[in-house]
Amino acid sequence: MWKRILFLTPALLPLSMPVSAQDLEWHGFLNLVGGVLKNEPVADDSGKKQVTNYLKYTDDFTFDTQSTAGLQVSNKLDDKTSVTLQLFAAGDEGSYNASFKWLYLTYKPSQFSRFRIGRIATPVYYYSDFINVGYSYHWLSPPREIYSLDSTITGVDYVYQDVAGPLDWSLELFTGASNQYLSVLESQVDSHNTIGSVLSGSIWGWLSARALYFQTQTTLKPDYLKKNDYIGTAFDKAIAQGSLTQSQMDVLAPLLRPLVEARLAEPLALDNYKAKYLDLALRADFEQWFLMAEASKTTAEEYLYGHQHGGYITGGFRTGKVQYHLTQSRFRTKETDDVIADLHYALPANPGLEDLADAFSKSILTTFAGRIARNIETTTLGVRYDATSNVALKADVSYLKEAECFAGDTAGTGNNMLFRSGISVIF
Amino acid sequence: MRYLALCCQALMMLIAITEIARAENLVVIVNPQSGITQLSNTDVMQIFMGKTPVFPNGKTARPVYMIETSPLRTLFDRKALNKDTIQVRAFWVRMLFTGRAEPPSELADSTSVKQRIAGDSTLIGYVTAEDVDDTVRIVYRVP
Repeated sequence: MWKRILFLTPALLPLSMPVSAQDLEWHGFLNLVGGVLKNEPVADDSGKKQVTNYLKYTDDFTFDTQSTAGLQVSNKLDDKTSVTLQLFAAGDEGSYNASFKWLYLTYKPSQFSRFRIGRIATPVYYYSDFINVGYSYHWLSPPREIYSLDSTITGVDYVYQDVAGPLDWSLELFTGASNQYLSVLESQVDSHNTIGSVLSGSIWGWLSARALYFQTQTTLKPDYLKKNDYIGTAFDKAIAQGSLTQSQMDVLAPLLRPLVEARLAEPLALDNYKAKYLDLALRADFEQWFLMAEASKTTAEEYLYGHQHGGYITGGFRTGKVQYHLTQSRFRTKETDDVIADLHYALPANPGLEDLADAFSKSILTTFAGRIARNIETTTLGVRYDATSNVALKADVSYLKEAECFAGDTAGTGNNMLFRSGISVIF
Repeated sequence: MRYLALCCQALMMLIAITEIARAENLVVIVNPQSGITQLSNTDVMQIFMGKTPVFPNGKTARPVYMIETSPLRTLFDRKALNKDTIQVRAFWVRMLFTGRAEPPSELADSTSVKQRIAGDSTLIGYVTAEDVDDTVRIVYRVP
């Protein structure tokens, strides 16, 4: 209930006083990103050579995967208060459905501090606040090994900033909740009791650092659990592998199914589990070149999701209007101890019904865990050309390499190359 | 005709040299009512990059830039902020779209900057030293 109140408060304020067009400040951004993979991704256990994927790109050129556009309007109510709204649309396989991404009230009790109340970007990573404003960074998009999440929370955010000699610093505290569909997880995600803090600073004008910690309680409703009869699929696989004959399965299936469902109920519930995020970033900026590194760790108290580590190092050199850059990024899921133990489950010599139910349920769980787990490395070489003060042209080529997360994990392993070009505009 | 062309080229070179010499003599100015007499390079960087909203004496400080096409802008960004103009622009784009700060005003030339600052004690900007008069005060000389 309080989430709805916080979300609506900023929207109601302007209705209480007349607003002219001159009071509103409009700004917008557009990122047209087109890309094509060298080879069509192959990620199943059919025995075919695996070819890794990258988001939803295919071997047909498309602009519909990463293109985004946004329109932001602000209204200054008085010296301390303003309202900001951002309309946002993303390619997402051609849908381009526009929605309110941000809607918040800003209140500045002093020149050094501000509160934001409403729907804001979750400031998880260094570029999270402006991840969709492609003009503000050198890549076509930040490395997916860290920037797979672009989420918002509805809540309260407080920032205090100050200087101390050559050091300038800021501390951000935030809390809130969210309920949104995240396409990267292919799941409805409901998070609450989110609390976090960000400490950032820079010194001598060229060296900056940022550290974040936040935790949240999450409930997931993944598409893959709704779409298929995964128990039936596991039974069919057992027949195909010769573990059981069709006639044996015809007898056992009605008895096994409720036993397997009972064993899967809790681990697949994905209800209200705690997730913690830690992120560190360090950046050196000089007139013509820069160097940056960021590393993140996500810990989920959940069987399927394990611990996730991501990071990248990037550097670039500018000459005139052209900037060249190179990035090496990595993401790795470290499976939970339970998943590793269940991978090596062995049936006893004369298995009973309970033993078979154990085997099927562990097989299904480890299949899901393997599907979620990733071990990806990407090397990207790119170029940015600032054509005007509002337009930047970009292009890059990436070498993608995906390795197994655990012994026998073949889903999605392999190599590929991605070619992208795009244009970033601000207005 | 050839003599006329040579004269024109010499005149253009003289104008260019004069502009370069003027641009090399860049100073940061404030309104005399601001109470500020001197700023360090760190103070200038922090104010112009939006890291602090106040002068060292606690009074409000609002920077004004020159437009990007001005050679004075390029010089100031490079010598006072240690950044190229594209980096400064990208920084203010981030501030704008995250709602953290509004980008500073951009004015066409030294005359506009001086007039604006002379009328507002919260503003800080930069001009060439030759353009300074008693309506504004120099607080930092760009090296």
